[in-house]
Amino acid sequence: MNRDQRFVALVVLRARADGCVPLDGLGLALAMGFPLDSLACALVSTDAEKSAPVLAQQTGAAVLPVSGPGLPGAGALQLAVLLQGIMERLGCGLALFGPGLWAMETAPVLAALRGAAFVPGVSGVSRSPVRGFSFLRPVMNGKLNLSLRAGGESAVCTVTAGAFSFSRPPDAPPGRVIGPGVIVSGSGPRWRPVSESPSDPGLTQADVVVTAGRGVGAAENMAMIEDTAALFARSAVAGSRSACDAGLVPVSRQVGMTGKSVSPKLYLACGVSGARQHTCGFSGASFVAAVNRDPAAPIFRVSDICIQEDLTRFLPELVRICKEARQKA
Amino acid sequence: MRILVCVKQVPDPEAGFEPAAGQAGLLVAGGRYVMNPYDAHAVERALEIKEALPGVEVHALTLGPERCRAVVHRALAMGADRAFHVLCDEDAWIPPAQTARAIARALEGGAYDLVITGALATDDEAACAGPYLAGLLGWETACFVVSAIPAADGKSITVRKEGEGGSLWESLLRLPAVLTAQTTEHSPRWPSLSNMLRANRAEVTVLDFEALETGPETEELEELAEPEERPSGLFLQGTTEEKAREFCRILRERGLL
Repeated sequence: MNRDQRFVALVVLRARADGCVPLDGLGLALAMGFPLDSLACALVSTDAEKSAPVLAQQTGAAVLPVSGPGLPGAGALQLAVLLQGIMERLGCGLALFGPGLWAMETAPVLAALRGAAFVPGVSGVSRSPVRGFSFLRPVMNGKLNLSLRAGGESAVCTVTAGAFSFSRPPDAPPGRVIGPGVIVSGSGPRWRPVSESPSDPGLTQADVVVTAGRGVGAAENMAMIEDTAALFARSAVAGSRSACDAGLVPVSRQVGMTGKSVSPKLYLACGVSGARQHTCGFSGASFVAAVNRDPAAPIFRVSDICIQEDLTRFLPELVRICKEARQKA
Repeated sequence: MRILVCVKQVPDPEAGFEPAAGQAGLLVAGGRYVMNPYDAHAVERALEIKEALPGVEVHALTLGPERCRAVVHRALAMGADRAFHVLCDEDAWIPPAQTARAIARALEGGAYDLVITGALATDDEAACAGPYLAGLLGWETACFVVSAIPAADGKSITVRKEGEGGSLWESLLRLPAVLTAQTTEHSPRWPSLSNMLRANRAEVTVLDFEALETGPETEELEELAEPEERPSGLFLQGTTEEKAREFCRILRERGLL
């Protein structure tokens, strides 16, 4: 590694289980006004040595591979200590993480180790020459926004899913790999998968996802959800966290922060309140409709079509009318 | 083994609310507050450990103004042995990192083996006090924990946590450690009325937030405001049948049906 090279921020990019590397952290860095050549990306991935050149080419940023035999089962403390070492070597004051559980677990540990400010779930940012960075983050289920001033040039941030997208500036030269890569050793406590992400292609590949929330109430009302899903050719039934906790829907069909992410043509949320832990799971949906009795339910803030109704009355009516319409067609 | 459970009072998610004028904290009009639902699962997880192993003590701690004492009383009624209240002003907004620093100071000398917090609080949704505390203490941590089973010698704990995409991970963690509790299908125990009455009379050790000297805040609140109205979706109008017909038409128009 070229030890003279200094970077303003370390963007921590973690490959998902499917190999995809979300670039939200880079999006935040550009929104903060940092030029690409002031950023170093730590690519945390089991095949980081191989994929780092591709990512550098794709993004135009400097990429440091972080890999090794200990990575799949590494704990938050081990990784935070390792990232702290990288920040010191590269002179970075800021660390920017994407969304997701891994970032939620690791980023605060890193902030504490550095005595740095910590801003979770950033959804907006502005900079004033006098006051420095102001970060915006939604709270109270998106009903309020909190504006925070944090830590000058020393802070650790994670982003709200979908708030920042990255596209490489057209005039950016190709990035490069900075190395040698950092090795994650197999020492310390190891995490092993008890169950992998439940494979459910029916859910992730469905064109239409009909989701049950806690508002479905009794288990017998699930038949209405299933009847509604059956109207569509490639459809699947899913659940919010609270519907899964209530035993209405299997955990393998949970959509949200600790569940699946889906991008269907239609996402129909039934009796779902709209907590951000759930809505981040369908931010890629093309069209969102929601049925809820409460006109102030947060789910209506992210819906294209809002249906203020009792779902036990509305869904049977919808099924009847759609079947009628199909027969006439 | 000694366990510290951190419990927070939050605005009742079931109640309507509005930010109280002129206040920097997350306050609600009407004053309906409850124990953060995730923290109730944290208490439950601690009590399960207490029931699994002899000689386990569970202490509950909260941070906030006077009204927050209700949540440590509830933790006592659920089965905690002792309660602590880090007292601060009603209108103070304490950033989560500062909360973690206060907890770190409060637990000094307490010989704790395990700290359990809720995975996130439903008001500020920061989800960071637990892992931030772990970083301050240099302890192992695991977030979104669904089960924690202690070894017979009380020196380690088998932890299961949720990962991305609904995956489940397990590890044997040597204590001390900080865990954050995910909700599960097992509802936290509901304290009986007699236990609540007894807990409300129990002694709570009060610690002064200022006296804990947590240092300068690294985050400063600028504003708490309602978000700009985003372009709202289309609210369908009419009777139930008319709305269903309109929705059916929209679905057909979009080629979805």
